[in-house]
Amino acid sequence: MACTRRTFLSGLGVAAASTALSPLIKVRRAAAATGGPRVIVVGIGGGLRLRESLGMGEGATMPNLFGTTPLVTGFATGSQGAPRIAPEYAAAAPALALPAVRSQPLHTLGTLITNLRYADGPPGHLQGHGCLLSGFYNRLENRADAHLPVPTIFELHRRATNAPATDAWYVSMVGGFYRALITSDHTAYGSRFAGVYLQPPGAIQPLVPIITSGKRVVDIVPGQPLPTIPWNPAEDDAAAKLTAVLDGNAPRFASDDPIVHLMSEDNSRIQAHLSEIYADGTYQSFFPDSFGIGLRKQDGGVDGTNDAKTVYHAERVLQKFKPSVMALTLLDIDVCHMDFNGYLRAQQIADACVNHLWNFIQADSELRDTTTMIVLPEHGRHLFMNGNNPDSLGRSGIDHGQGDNGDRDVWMLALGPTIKPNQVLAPTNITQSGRSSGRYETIDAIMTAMGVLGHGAVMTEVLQAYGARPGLPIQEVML
Amino acid sequence: MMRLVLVAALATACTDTYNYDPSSAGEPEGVQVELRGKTSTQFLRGIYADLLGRTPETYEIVISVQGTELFRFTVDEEALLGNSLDGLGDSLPMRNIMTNALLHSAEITIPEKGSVDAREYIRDQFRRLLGRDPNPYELDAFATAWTNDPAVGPRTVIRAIVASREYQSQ
Repeated sequence: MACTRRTFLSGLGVAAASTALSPLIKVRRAAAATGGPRVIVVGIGGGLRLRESLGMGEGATMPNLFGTTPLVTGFATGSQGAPRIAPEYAAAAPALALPAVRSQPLHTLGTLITNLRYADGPPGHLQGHGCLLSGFYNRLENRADAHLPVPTIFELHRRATNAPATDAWYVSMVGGFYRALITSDHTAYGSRFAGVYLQPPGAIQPLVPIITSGKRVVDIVPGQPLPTIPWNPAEDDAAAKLTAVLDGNAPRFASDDPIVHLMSEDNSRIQAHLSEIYADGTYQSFFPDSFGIGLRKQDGGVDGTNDAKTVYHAERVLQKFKPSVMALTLLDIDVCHMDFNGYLRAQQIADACVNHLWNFIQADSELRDTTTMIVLPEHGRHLFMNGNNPDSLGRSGIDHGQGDNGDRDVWMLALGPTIKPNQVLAPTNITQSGRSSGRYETIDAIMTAMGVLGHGAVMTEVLQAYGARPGLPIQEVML
Repeated sequence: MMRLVLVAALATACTDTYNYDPSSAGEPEGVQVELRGKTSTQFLRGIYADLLGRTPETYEIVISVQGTELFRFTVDEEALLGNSLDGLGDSLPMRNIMTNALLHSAEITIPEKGSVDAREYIRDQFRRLLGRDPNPYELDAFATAWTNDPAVGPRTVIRAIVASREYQSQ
């Protein structure tokens, strides 16, 4: 890149002006950093039916969340035991590592809406999670550059509070197109208000230090560290300062660049967080056995499933960054297309992970007093099986996407200091122009979450301006 | 006679006029072009070429325990590291970590700080990675940091340049 005298001097001018103005335009610390409200939206993605979750039609698959007695009628009656896994499957599959089930189901600590409706939009994972991140029923195309047309919860929060990106996280088990969900195409919002997208199974990968070490034979010697990426914070700082010299004289990235570019301060903090993990020669920072959820290894350790890794690293982010907004996407249960027994077991994993996350929040006094958590499936699955991989109990895989009641009947669990405890509700006669369900819907769960943060009015305004039906705050769940 | 014909022809030709719309090429002077970031694949292929002198490869990694082979598996460097970069919305932190990792790789030799001339080394890295010389301000800033900050050495210079918007853009 050529640098003329003029561009060089103008670059210096910009750098000097930025330095002079920086005290005035400094990004404000997030409200949550001073004890403001926090919201975590946990999307149990992959397509989870009412029949297996609240209905317990195949046993109690989510005992930490819902106990062992069905919470909706029509699928099973009386106290249920462990999930019914086909014997041939149980004999072949590795055992699950699951902590002891909590004595008091989580739903008793908050409010459970048992008849939530994912009322519109394709029951696809990307579209479903797009809805959970925006409160907008959408028909997003499955493309890496397909952004929502309305602002995400991250953008709404950051624009309203002037918070840094590290105050708004999207921690997703899934990569690919989900990366584009971190920001919208809305002209008043967009990537400058994006949050931090982190896909732990991709970004936090123990093979990275092995590959980049240049070694093609890795000899494990007990007590000796495995290949690491050395971390020297002083060198990181020094390199960042010199990079700033170059960047001060370089053009900015285009505002419509499809790649999100965060502020250098945010990236430095994220880099330090990841560097610490990659510098750990025990590899326990990638996923420690002590997390206790996943598949049991022969040596007694635990192999984290992707959902378990995602929740483990979401907890690390909560611990370090204490963000105001976090959304999580789990997706292990999507194996159901081909593996009904795996679907039941993945529900156990998701259940244990959500419980672990809640316990983690309760163990941190700052998070405990400020965090509202909303848990819901992004959509369900078909009412019928697809014949894939039949088991000896007459069951087979189940798809999603056609939009029958199995696809659209879901639930929502709300927990936290702002939520009424010990309620199981199925509200009806909910009216709104354009609402045919007569029930609370997925978009209402997100509107409720944004209401907790104080962004409900602006979310309503933006959705209405776009011509979309905004969600309704679910007053019944709020204290 | 021939001259007269030519003069007459030129005189006729000169009576025709043509109007063209104004045209321009590139941006006006003083307007900076907005950059587009490299994709993960573009970054990886670039950093492999610049630092290791090769493209990402697919090969087998052998895992052994105290010298006894346990298992081996095939690794596609570009696919695996690309997925890792794409695991962040803004992958710059992960790009910086990978650059640091490659600079510690067994495939690369970084000179000792005391064994090279600072300004010459800095100039070489600008030419190698950015395809240009440092301007006087950049050279002075890098050289001063080299002298005053014990954390600045050959590796830091490369890391700083690779992390810059100039290197990270297409």
